[in-house]
Amino acid sequence: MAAVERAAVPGHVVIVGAGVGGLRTAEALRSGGYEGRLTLIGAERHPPYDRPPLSKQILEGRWEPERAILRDRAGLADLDVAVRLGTRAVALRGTTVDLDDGESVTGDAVVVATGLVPRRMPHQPDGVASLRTLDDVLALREAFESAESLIIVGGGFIGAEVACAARRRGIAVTVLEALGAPCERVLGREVGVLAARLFREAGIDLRLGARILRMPDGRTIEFADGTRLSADVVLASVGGIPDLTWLGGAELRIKDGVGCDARGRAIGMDGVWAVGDAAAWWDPVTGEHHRAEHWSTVTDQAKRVAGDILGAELPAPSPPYVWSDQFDLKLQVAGRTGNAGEVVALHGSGLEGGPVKGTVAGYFTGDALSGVVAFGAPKPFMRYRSLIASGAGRSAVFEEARR
Amino acid sequence: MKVRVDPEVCQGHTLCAMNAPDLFALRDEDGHAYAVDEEVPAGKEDLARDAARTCPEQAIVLS
Repeated sequence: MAAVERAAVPGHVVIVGAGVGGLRTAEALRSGGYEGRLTLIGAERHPPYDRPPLSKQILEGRWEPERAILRDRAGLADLDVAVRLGTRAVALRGTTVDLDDGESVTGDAVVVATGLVPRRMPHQPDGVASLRTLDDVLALREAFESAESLIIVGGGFIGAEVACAARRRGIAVTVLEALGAPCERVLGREVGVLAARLFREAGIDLRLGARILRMPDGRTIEFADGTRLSADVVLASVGGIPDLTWLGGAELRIKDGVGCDARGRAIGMDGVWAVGDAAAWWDPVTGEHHRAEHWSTVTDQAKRVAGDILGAELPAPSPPYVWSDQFDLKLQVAGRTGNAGEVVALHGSGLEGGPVKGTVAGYFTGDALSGVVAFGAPKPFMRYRSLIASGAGRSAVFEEARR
Repeated sequence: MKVRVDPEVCQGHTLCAMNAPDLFALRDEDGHAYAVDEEVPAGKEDLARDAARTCPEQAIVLS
């Protein structure tokens, strides 16, 4: 008989990163029938928790932090996984992970799921807030108790959600965005203008094209034109960078992430997979590597990696999806938007200056619908998600819009 | 354990159907999620709890 190509199922899988990607990988391995050893290593002291509620329910004080925990210690024990929380990986040698407490864990397979660390501004002084972890949001929530003013550097989704939460508490909010519209990388300029209107209608001082020269201290911004602006709290919300310094350059970096094939196998690293925000998977549809920062993508990738490790058939990927609760409406994004070819209004009149709420924009690449953005229009939005997945053309999309 | 999706609260994020396709499905007409079976199959309780916890709208009701 010819040699079987598939490698044997490993006896010990080590997952580095105890966020949603790491946890979902562990869960998918167990539900896929994996009976070998499992180790989950997390730099934070908390058990795996869900990040979307941090800048929403938890920052607003509607949820206590425990509610975001996905699996507590007992739940992890049920999964029969050895957990090392509050322990940071410092190096990877083959499939051996060195830890900051001096110990090492050797697996037959390693899954990199370390996610992002907040990007810092150049020469960022101490005292500037960031929002990535549960501890970050609890510190920010406490700062809001006494703050009267807030500057947010970065007008992305997180910046918008924090701005809303602060406005609800009566805090004066200024948002500084370098680009010409908020959330421009995701929405594109044309639709980003609608987001800008939402900021301003909520009483937020939104400054687009902001040029920051430096921060003389943790509460003061100095602009390129020499003017200064101070607030009780400054939040840097300028995105994140993959937390990969511990790999020491052993990986092939693509778009700042670990370059992977379409199954999540790290290129050039035997026995290593990567999932989530820190992984740049090959996308056969677009013919390039893509690093997504979406909850739905990491969940999808975790299942696929677990399947690949077990030699099982891989589930079909679902189109990327992200949502944000802003200004009392739900902003929903599916598929590829941002730099798609053409934006067409499908519902509502926001793009022509009418109300933002109820506006649905379609993004077309050639004839095919590649993405959809909806402002407070969940019902129409849902109908387009399957059209994106099936690569529907304009005529089918416009027919749906007329329904 | 019983499970249902509150149709008034569901906003069609579809994360439940993505993570627990055995328990949740989506209506063709409006994309809303519904429980495949009101009774959670034995051994799937954790999956149901997890779906309820990660639902962005907290629309999944367990009893």
